Amino acid sequence: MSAQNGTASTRKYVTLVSKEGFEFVVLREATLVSPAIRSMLDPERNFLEAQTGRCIFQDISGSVLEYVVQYMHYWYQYKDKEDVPDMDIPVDLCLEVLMAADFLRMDRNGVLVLLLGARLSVWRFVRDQEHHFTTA
Amino acid sequence: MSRRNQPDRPTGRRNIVGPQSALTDFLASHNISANRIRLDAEARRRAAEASQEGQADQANGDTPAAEADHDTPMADADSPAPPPPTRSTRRNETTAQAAKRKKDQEKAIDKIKARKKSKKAQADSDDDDDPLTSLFEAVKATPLPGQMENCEICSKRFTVTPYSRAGPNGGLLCNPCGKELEKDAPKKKPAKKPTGGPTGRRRTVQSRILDGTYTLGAKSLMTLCIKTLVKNIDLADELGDLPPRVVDKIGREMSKLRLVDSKTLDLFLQSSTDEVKIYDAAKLTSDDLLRIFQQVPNLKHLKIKNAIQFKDEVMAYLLDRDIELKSLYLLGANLLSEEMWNHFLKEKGTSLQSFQVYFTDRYFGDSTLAMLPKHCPSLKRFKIRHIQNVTGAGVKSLAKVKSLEHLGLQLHHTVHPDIYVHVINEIGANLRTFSIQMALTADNTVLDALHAKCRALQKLRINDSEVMTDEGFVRLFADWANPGLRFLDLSKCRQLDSVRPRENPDGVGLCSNGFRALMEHSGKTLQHLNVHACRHISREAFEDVFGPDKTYPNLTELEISFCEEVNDFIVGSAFRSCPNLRKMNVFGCMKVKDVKVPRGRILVGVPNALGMVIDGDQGVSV
Repeated sequence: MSAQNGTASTRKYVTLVSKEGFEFVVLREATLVSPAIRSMLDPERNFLEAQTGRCIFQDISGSVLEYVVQYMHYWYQYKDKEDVPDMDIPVDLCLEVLMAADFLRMDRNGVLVLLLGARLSVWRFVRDQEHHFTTA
Repeated sequence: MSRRNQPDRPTGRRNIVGPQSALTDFLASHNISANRIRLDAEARRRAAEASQEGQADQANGDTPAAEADHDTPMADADSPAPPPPTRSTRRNETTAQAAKRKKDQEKAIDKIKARKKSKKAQADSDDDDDPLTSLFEAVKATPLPGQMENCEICSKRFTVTPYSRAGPNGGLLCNPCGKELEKDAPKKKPAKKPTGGPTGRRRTVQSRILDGTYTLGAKSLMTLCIKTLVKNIDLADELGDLPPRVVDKIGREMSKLRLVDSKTLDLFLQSSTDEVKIYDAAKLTSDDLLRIFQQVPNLKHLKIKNAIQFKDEVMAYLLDRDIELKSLYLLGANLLSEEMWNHFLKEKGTSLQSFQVYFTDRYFGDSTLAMLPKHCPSLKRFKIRHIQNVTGAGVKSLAKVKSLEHLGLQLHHTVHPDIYVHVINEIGANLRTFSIQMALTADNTVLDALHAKCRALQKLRINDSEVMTDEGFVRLFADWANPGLRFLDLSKCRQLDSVRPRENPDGVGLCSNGFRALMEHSGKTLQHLNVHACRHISREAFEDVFGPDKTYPNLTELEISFCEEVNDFIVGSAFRSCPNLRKMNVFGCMKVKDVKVPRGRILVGVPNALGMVIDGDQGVSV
């Protein structure tokens, strides 16, 4: 698997782990939709997650994380398209996915990320934007 | 990876429990595990399949009959569904039941045999490995339209059409037989209406543009969850420990669909919260509103729109309770009497920091405003809109509320400009928001007072003035010691003369020089600019302001509708000068014809059939 090659910050895939230990290998670009995961994996900040490429979520169960990961790929697939069909969220898991979405700060659609190509500048830009939004 | 196949049983190894749905919690409190139910259902399904297989085998004579009695291997004794028939139950069954069971069994066996046969046939045809033969066979089996064929039922000869129906044994039927067959067949469900066709989709997109929620790409996960949740809100018992801003989003979405009623109100009344925001209380009764104060003892911030049933009795109950509101926002509380308003301010005014009242006609007047200076020492935000009973005298008393920082007024009575000047002179130094709408008579003296007194203003709105002049605006913005504004709305400050609409010798309203001066002063900090219907801003002024060497990095919304001189070049220049501009309105700018819009930006009000442009071909331009 390509996750084994290169340093953790340059690998194409990252691993998200649920509280029961279920592992999801996700395209790094797709995880950018969550500002929380983005900052965990930011090579500049040098968190443990950035070094290992593994994010462990003690509060998110496997079934919920599955939908979060599904959303990440859905988001990545449609990231600059118009007329995007809505993804279905199962009704019984809805509240839990909502809590996970709040925890991962997936409340904006991450359009800012799309406007810029280079990843590092994306991080800085988004951080500045967030700062800007919170102070505004 | 294979760990995912393990059943998700609570092992007790970890005691950390993640977020659970209300239903799961409810079931858990009755000692029922949702996970267990799911596992049981799967086990039953497996067992059913296994028993069917077993029966088929039995028919072939391979296995003894007892083998067919697979019990559910994983189902537990407390499984709520009836277990499949076991031998003990069979002993008690009547002969009729036995016959029925046998018939069912035979049916199942036939089905399996047929499946096996067709599989075999398929395998055979694969074996001869000649695609042409199979193609010919397929053609032979179903005659093409136009050919003659014998009906499968009545054996009459008929012409095959594309509408000829297939008979029970695979052959074709003539028209009368086909109709007969269709009569017997159960009616098909009406085809599901295709949703979101070209028109529906376009409408949705345009509605999202006007809502200001349009973006490229997928909706956020939170939005999707909230939409799903709101659609099924009748299933939710409580919202759990969601943070207040998420609860607020759910409340907004529910109000949009008019789903807030006596039943769903409980979702928002958590005893731990200190704010209740209801965006549509039209379906709530007075008793429901009383319940807010009963169930949320720590209430500090209350906001109710369409609060029609917020009557005297509700307010009286609030006065009885030990609740000290910091902010109160009521829209449409038309049944509250003036005495009750005054009583409220007298009793609860000391803690009040924000007081907003909208849309009342008779009962909220000057006497209430006169209470503010004495009883509300910490009032920072005071906004009233569409209040019919407030006159200049009431506004004058606001000058004595020294703590005010945000002031917003939209009154039906005409207020003399001297009163505004008096208020600004008294409290202008601290004001951060100053908004007067429908201020027909407000004149240059108001602008001069703002220039002289205000030093902390961030948001300024003066609408509909017919007497302010361009000179006045220049005097306001030139060398104003106030730092740059964040929000500026000078819409409809223009000259109105139906006899000579184009001439404006006195420079009434916001014209070219005023526009230049305001962008000089606040352009760098402005996020929202509205110069709607300031008709006398010239083309040159727009071109100067949005010149190639000017950038306005913070501007995100620009409203220049009904400015006659705006053309394609100005719109393009504005997009260039404002790199973060998200939305521009150009209703009634008839010189805008065919403008290139950068990708992801929104241009609304183009005078053609399209109306709105979101997506030009200029690509990403950040």
